[in-house]
Amino acid sequence: MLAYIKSTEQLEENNLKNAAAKEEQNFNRWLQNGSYKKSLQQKFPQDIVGFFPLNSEALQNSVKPYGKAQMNRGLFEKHPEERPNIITTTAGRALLLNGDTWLDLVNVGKFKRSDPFTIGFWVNLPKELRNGVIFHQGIAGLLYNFRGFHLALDNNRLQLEMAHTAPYNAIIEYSKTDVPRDKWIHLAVTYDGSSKASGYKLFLNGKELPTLVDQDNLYKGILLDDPKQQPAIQFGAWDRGKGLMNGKIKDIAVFSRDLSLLELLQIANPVSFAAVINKNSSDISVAENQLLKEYYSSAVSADYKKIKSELRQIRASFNDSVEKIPELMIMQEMPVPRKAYVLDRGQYDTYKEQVHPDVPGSILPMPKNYPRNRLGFAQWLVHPDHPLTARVAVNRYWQMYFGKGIVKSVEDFGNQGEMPSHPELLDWLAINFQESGWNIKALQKMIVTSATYRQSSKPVVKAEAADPENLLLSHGPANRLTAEMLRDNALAASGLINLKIGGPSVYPYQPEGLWKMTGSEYKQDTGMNLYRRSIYTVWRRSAPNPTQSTFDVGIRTSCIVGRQRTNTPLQALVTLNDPTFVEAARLIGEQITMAADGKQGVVDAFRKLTGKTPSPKELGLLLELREKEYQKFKTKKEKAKGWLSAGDYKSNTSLDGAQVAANAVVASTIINMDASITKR
Amino acid sequence: MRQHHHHEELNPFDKDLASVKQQLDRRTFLTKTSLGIGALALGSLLGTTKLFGKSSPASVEDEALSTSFPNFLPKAKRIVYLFQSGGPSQLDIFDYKPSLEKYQGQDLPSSVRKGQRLTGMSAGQATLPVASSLFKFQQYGECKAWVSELMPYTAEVADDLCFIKSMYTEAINHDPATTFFQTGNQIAGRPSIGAWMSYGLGSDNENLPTFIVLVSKNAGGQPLLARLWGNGFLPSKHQGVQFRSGKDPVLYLSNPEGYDGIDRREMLDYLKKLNQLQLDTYGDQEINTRISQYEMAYRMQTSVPEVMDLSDEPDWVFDLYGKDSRDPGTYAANCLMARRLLEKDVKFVQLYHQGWDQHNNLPGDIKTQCKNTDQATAALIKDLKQRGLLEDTLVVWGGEFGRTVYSQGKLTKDNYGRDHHPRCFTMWMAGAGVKPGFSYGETDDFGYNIVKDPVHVHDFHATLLHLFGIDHEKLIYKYQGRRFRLTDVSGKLVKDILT
Repeated sequence: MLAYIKSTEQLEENNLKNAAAKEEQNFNRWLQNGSYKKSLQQKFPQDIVGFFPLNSEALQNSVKPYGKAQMNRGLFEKHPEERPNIITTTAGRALLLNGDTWLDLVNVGKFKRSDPFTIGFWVNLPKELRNGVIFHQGIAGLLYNFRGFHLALDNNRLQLEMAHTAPYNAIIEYSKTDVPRDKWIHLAVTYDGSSKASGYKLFLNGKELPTLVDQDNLYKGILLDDPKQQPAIQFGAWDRGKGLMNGKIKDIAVFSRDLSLLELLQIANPVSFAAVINKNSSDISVAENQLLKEYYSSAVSADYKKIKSELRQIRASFNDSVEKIPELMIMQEMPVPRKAYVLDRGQYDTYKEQVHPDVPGSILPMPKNYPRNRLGFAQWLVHPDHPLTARVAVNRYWQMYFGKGIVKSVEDFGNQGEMPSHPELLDWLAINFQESGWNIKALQKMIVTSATYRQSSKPVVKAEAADPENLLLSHGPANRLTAEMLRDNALAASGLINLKIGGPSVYPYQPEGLWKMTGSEYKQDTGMNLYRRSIYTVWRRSAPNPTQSTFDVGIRTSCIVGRQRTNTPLQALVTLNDPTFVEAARLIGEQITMAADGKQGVVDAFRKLTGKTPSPKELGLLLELREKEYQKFKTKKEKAKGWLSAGDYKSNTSLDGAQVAANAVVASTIINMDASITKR
Repeated sequence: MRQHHHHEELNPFDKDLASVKQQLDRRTFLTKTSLGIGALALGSLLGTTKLFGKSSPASVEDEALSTSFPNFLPKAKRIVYLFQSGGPSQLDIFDYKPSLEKYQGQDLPSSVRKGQRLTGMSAGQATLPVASSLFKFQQYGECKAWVSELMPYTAEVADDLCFIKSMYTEAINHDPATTFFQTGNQIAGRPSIGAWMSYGLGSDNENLPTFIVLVSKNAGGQPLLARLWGNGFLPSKHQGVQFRSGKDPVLYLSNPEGYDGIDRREMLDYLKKLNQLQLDTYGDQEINTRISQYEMAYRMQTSVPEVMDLSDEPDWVFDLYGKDSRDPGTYAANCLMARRLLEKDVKFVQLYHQGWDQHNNLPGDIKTQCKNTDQATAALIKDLKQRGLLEDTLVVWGGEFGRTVYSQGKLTKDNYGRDHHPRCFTMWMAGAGVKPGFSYGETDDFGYNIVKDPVHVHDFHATLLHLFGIDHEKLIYKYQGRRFRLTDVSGKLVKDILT
């Protein structure tokens, strides 16, 4: 759809170009009959939406929609009313700025990136000011990545910016020179709604000021997400940034159209302007003819206006569509890589010799033809002669299944790491892995079908004495399931699990209020999103999911290659009482109740949760427990309440509650058995 | 994974220390009995098995550690850290600067600022007008400590407090600064102080976590993050456990509705038998551990609600802590809760109270903050003292940084704001091993830079560990090829504040 909108935009842009030829005749007629004199007679160019002379404390907007500007400071201050400081200057009355208080045009200038506009004004900039904002639309730049647009002094140049998030998704331009100081100048900015630097221009005293384009990559909206927070144009200061201390300003004019050069001249230099329009058509020079033609297109021609308004609508709908597309952050090489230096004793601003990207040659020198960037680095990592990558990778997969790597220090193959317990095996696996084309699935299949992995984890007494850590793998591994596996196992056994792949994160059960201290709120999901696999559970590092964090899921402040496997009473509380597990037990309880043979129902539940058939002793205990619980729930229904109401999933109310609850207790007991929690 | 057995023997150097430790244990016992039947009954109900952490030194179990702790006689057995999140203004509470009045409204002299950088939030201001405090200061106690009218209750216990007026940090914003204070590093991922202590010293209470966290409800302000009490790379049993007000003080403590303790007991008996069968088959001691963890979880279901239930506190105690202390989850109620946990020898109780970030409208906001905390803070000192606990309990009060002498935003007759200021701020400690009624360090006349005895965050950590008998250079954990310390490669003991 975006492509379609984009193509219609292109079409309109072409129409606009073609309109010139079509309008040639009309323009000539308009020129010949002297209509330009009449149409340029008004006090202001057309489409003016604000004119603030700033000659009195009223700060009146003298054109429609009228209203007043006001002085403000500090986004979060409960400021008593700030008063404007109107002074008399060589250029008449003007507003004197203090650098901290801004002039807020209130409703004027909440432009979108598809809206053309012009902002022109007279300003007197003090010489000593190197940095400071002249005007801006948006909340304090620092807090919101400069979303909006602004004109500012930046190290004695003018910076013109329009941004979704600066400096990437933005247009940023700089004037090539400084502007005159300590004297009145007229500055104007025009923008044509194209989201391009070429359509965003700067003018000094009615003449275009050449700029250097630093960034030309605006592709999303420039208004704040919350329209209630969206400020209008503000002059002279911004919160938490430098303003125009001792700057003077007057005659701010805002237009909802990108004015032509002739109109800019009208507001910036009325004398030169008058010199042009008072000429007779026969006296008009080639250059002046061009000025008038531009003016005609921009302000007179009905055709142009129609096309322009269509273009504006197309751009607005394009913007609205783009806005909804979620963005994914990626790493990208800069067009010109930034130079890097050794920093003297780590001090960020003291450069020593320059350094260049390379790899530790002692591992494997980087082939000369590889680019010195992330692509080259990736190629180097999987180079057939690379001694580490394949070994490190197979060692981690080995750890996943055996609980420890062939090299126990999975994160450290360096001189402080451990030696491999089976070096030849490690090499063989690594070579195999490389030669299989790095086939991860095949590698895992080989591991799990190996005789070594398939051994019972029951140790032989003699072996245990000789090799207590089972380094020599005389028996199979025994590992507690990970946080994700534990929950997914319960969900799968209960039939609740939702195996949908992909999509945004989900919000399963979590006690209320855990996100509050982080200044936000957890909105629990409903329906089948509650039962998505645990890898889809939302991640918030500042308030991690308690079910997962209790079972040693990493905190994700940095990468880890092996999780802890602790054993704590808090874990017992999770698998006993977390609604995720109680609900799963309830569903399994219903299944056992519905089974034709209740005993077989328990056996099936046991198999689903533990992957093995219960021994007669185990089954005997579970059936005995079931009977006791059943008798209890039968006489004291209120004891079953929690078991029957856990979770959102609907209950099968046709079943006998006491039976379901008794079977749910049995299921919960199995969930909490070592046989379910530990893979043996 | 196999359970390593704890070795209780100590090396010969530590023999004397061992006898000291025994004496300490006896004293604790006596203190405990003075608390009455409640504590004893709870103790006997719960038996002697350890619930959390361990009591033996960390050295033998964790190969990364080669020293046994404590290294020397500890002064402190437990700590309550009253973390005032947001950065309380030292200039309006403790660091009295009378000469500021004559500079009121003037730009901060460059001779004071010395070209130092400002934080991004006020660096853009056209002027930096000096704002003297709106609050009246007075001297209190025999130590003649200056305290403003904002903290009348704290002023009453001034003779118990050891002020450090010359704290400084390197971080300028909340998250890194708080993370720095709690973990010794600005970047997240290192273990918190409490986790280090749990790791080094183990637990003195068999029935409650070693490291418990209480966060004031409804305080608002800068966010807190669970990793502030995280274990970092240490084993996760050392992480702080947050106790919350309400039905489930510890997550998932409550059984399904209607299913009571006796019912749970019955179910767990069967679970135990089933796990025992598994143990008989596989002989894996991890199963044994799991069996006992379930037993402990069961006991916690009684012990935690009991310690959280304030209904056995007499009225005069609530009066002492203020009326908010009857409202669970408030700072006042958490202070009272802290005392109950300390009585049970929980080693590290960490309180967090948000809302001290007064960039704007400071006078009004700080008044509320102080009103919500002052009485309970002071009550905790008094309460610990009267129970004989202050002598071996360390109380710490402070935030992550201080605030600027100049006004952020507009300075008016009755309003101003203050930006973050890492270069100096005030904290206080009280109790075990620190000089009471003492003030350490000095700032310049503008409260802008330190002129005497600076104390860095690492120095504070080194001193804290010292009070617990730990040489901060010896509490080490090797992780991913590097040996880590709470104090990283720095930290100097602040000897002058020690008794």
